[in-house]
Amino acid sequence: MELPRLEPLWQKYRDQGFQVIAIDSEHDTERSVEFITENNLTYHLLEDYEGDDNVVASKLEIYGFPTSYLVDREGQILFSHIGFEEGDEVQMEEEIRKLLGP
Amino acid sequence: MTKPSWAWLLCAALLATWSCGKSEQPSDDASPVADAATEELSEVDQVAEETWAIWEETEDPEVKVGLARDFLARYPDSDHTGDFLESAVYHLTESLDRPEDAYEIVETTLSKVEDPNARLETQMQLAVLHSKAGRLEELSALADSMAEEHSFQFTDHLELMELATEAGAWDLAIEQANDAMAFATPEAFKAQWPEYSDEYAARAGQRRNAYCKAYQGWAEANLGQYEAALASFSSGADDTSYSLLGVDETPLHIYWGKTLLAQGEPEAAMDKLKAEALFGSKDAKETFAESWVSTRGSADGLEEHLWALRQEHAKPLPQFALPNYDGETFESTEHIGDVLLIAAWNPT
Repeated sequence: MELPRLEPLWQKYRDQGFQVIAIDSEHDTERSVEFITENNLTYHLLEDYEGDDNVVASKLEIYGFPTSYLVDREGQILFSHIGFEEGDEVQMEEEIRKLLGP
Repeated sequence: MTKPSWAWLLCAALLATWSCGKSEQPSDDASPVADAATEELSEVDQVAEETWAIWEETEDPEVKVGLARDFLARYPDSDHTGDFLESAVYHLTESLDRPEDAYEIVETTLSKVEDPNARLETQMQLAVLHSKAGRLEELSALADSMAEEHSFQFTDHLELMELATEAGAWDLAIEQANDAMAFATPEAFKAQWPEYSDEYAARAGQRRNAYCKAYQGWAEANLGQYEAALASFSSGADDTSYSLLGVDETPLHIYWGKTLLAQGEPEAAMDKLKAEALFGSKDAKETFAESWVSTRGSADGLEEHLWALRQEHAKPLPQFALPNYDGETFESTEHIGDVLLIAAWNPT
């Protein structure tokens, strides 16, 4: 599971202007909160709207989970990951460092 | 996973690269689980629900298989047959490397199942096993007998197309693609999903065509029919659908690139593959790298080239505002200037 792997990345780079924003697309609040609490997640955790107002599918055009976008300081999406395998966080960290700059 | 929805079944059929992308149904569609909750659960549904609850609590594939085996021994012929078999087959083949046990569960279940839908799902798991074992003749014979017994929907053909492709059963893949093409129309989509608009059905029909052309083209390429393969890919390319970052939801562009590389056209291959290599699957990135090396003799300059391409093909993050669990609103525009990792997830 991807979300718990993002917590140490956020802790490590938050002082350099790095934010993690997880958007829950499923509208099962109780279950999500349980997961978040169990895993001690402390970054931005948002809940998507239902129906036509939803952000994940309608605006971000994400249809498979998990999918992530990495956005640079100018607001451009420069990397994306579709799916998540153990070890992918290593590559993600490289990409984050590249976008954070020296 | 509580009970896989239709969308997840389609995903499972496409899972080779995980880039399963859009399902045919809009994402806000209610899952079948919601209906069950409003009625009183029958005994079998109740046991299924309890079993899935235990299933979710454990990471041990042996325990998961045991749960599925016990459930199927008790209720071989129910709405849950396909889901439990899929779980058992997946864990026995992928985690435990015991395909013979998977065959045994599937064949035992098949001998007890009468409900047409449960039979189809059981036979599909047998097809999964034949595909993984490389039993091409058995796979083809099974596909024929399934088609005779059932009236197939598009997704049944699609699943068999994918299994044939994974097994390298190219003739079967082409046959399934041809049969599936009959369903690649707005009318056929509406016949299956009457509740959707004409506009939605028109796009869905096109997307079905793109899936067919992707698998057909790749099978043709593997049979050495390059001209036909390239014609299939170009006729599907206009019909497919692309993500925000330009990634094809179907495997068409990956297969197109692989075919061009195999034909000695690495530059053209890289052109077809670039969006997938930048933002899609690892497979695409590897084929892109292979194409680069075949023109330049080494991987020198590849990372720089990809970085430049990345800048060129990047897209601005769409603006959004959403609440957190305390009801406070997060505005994406307030965070421009930071590096953002946006992760879309769901808890199941």
